[in-house]
Amino acid sequence: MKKNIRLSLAAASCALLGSHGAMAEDKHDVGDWDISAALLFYSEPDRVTATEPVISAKKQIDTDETLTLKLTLDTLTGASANGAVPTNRPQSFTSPSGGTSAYTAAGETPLDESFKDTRVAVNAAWEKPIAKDLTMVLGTNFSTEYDYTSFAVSSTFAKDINNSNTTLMAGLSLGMDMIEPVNGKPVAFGTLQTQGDDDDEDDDGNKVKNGSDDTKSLVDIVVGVTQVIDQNSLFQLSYSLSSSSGYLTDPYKFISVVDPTTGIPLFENNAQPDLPTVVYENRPDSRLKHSVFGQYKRYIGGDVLDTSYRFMVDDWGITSNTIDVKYRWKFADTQYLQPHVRVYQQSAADFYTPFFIDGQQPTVGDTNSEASADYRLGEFMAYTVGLEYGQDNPSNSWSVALEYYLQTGDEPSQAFGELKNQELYPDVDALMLRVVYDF
Amino acid sequence: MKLTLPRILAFLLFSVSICSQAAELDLARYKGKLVYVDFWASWCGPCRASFPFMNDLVKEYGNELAVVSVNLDEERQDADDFLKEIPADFSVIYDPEGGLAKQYGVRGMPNSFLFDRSGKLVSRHDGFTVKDPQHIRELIDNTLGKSQ
Amino acid sequence: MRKHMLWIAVIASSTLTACSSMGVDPWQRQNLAKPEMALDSSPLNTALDDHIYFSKEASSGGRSFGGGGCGCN
Repeated sequence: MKKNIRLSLAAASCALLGSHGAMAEDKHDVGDWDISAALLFYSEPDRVTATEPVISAKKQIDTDETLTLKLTLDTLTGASANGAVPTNRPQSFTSPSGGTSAYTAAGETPLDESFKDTRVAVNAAWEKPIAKDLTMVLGTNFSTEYDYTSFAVSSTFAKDINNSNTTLMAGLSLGMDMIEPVNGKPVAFGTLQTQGDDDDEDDDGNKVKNGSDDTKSLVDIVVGVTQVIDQNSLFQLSYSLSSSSGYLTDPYKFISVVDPTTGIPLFENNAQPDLPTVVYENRPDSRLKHSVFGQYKRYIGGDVLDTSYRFMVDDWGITSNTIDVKYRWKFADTQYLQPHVRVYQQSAADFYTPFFIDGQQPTVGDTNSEASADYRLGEFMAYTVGLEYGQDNPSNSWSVALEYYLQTGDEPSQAFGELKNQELYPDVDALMLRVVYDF
Repeated sequence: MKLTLPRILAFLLFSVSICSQAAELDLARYKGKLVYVDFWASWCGPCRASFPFMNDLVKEYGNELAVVSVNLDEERQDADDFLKEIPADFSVIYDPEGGLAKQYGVRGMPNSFLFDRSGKLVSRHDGFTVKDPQHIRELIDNTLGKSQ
Repeated sequence: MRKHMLWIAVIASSTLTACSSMGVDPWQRQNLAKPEMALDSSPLNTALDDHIYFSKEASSGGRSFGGGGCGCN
């Protein structure tokens, strides 16, 4: 028996390279669990704050086989834009859970104050060679929060060719999400806050929420190639097709209805005169996205340059470009500093509308019409700048990163009257602090 | 315009000879023994895993089997550091230019080759996983003529 | 002149072939094998970032499969 064999090894075999970051030189024994933990603090001034602890455990089953389990907790508190426009007088909004009203001062962006959620996510991935130079990764994700449950399975195959200088990759992921909005999903363009304090019914006594849950299904396909260029550089190019269908609407987002001449939201509620008239949004019931992703990495005498570019286009009319550049500057043998810049640009969805002019909003329940005032479907640029400091030690490594994120878009051209005096597309910024520790 | 084939060949051979600074492995030295040749590098994880196994082979088969390893690190220091951490009970040949590796057609690491007593190649083995030691022992035993 | 050019080409290409500066052999991957040279060298960071951007922007994924849906978008 060779019980004394101390199998000390890498994340994967030397012969393999590609999507799995193979050939890595970390020294984990077969049978060992490699534990990593991360903590993210995310904070938008006056808005959302998130704390996200992650723990990941990777078992080295063999020199070329691993099992990775990951648990993520995501705690969100604070407020996010509810889609309604600011105006020159105070507005109140009934929260999705009914009852309490959120007060918005004149000139302020209306927020959904009840934004509070805890999400638990579990991921598992099993990587195993199934034939010579052919690796399979089976993955599964499950996540749950109080109004949303998501489940997905995936399998990815990577084939090394050309003396392992080229890796071909293909994968398929199937997912199913369950959406259970508070009080059920809303009726498309259901009108709110126009009468009394009964938020579940419109003027004619029709329900604006039909009380039901809904689902969405997701199919993702990815194909790609990784190529070693020389002893110090490699690139990856991949194409992915992502199809989602089912309930893609945000059940908590409103669209303001404004007066055609003044540009001030309608206030039609006699009992509560500070309640503006808003309608629920409605998005298409399917979305097809195409993405092309390219990445280039180069080792420069101990430093590493990591650049990537992504182009995305979908059938909602959104096009986006993302550029990401990191430079890992190594010093004092085991320490590094890594500046990071990311630039993101997107065009608006065809159905994005910052508000409705009274008379032009679709009729209640008209699911053939699509509109959303969600700023995330508008046209904007986003910038991230960050700096990471890390230490690579044989027994434990850790890193800490601070990043600043800024989203900025132009004011909508269709603004008129009072809308011109308001900031309809305010900047959103956030600070992120990330700590990772490898045990 | 006319280039003779011999001239080109001569030049290619010259290029090869200046590039690969002659690490040599003379199997004839081990005549009468089985030879287990293993190509490795300090930065290769599975290679690291195969070292205790090769030390065991030396112990188990004594004079019947010669274990010869070929180190492919470009920097000698990297190999020396590795061997300080995981000592080898077998000989190490240094082939920083990869001449021997080319000659053997190494296509991944570790890559091992088993030769019989007459110096004939019996088998080659790519990579190193937990089930490999048993498999390699069986091959050695078969080649030695031991019955299972 | 053309003969010179041809010789230069032959010298260059044969040297390249012999010294393998084109195409990487398995034993020439010391730098590529470093953990920081993995395409996704810090999967935990990547997953955290992707989740943030997924909830703030209309694009997601592209690199590989995401970490599952959420009600944040």
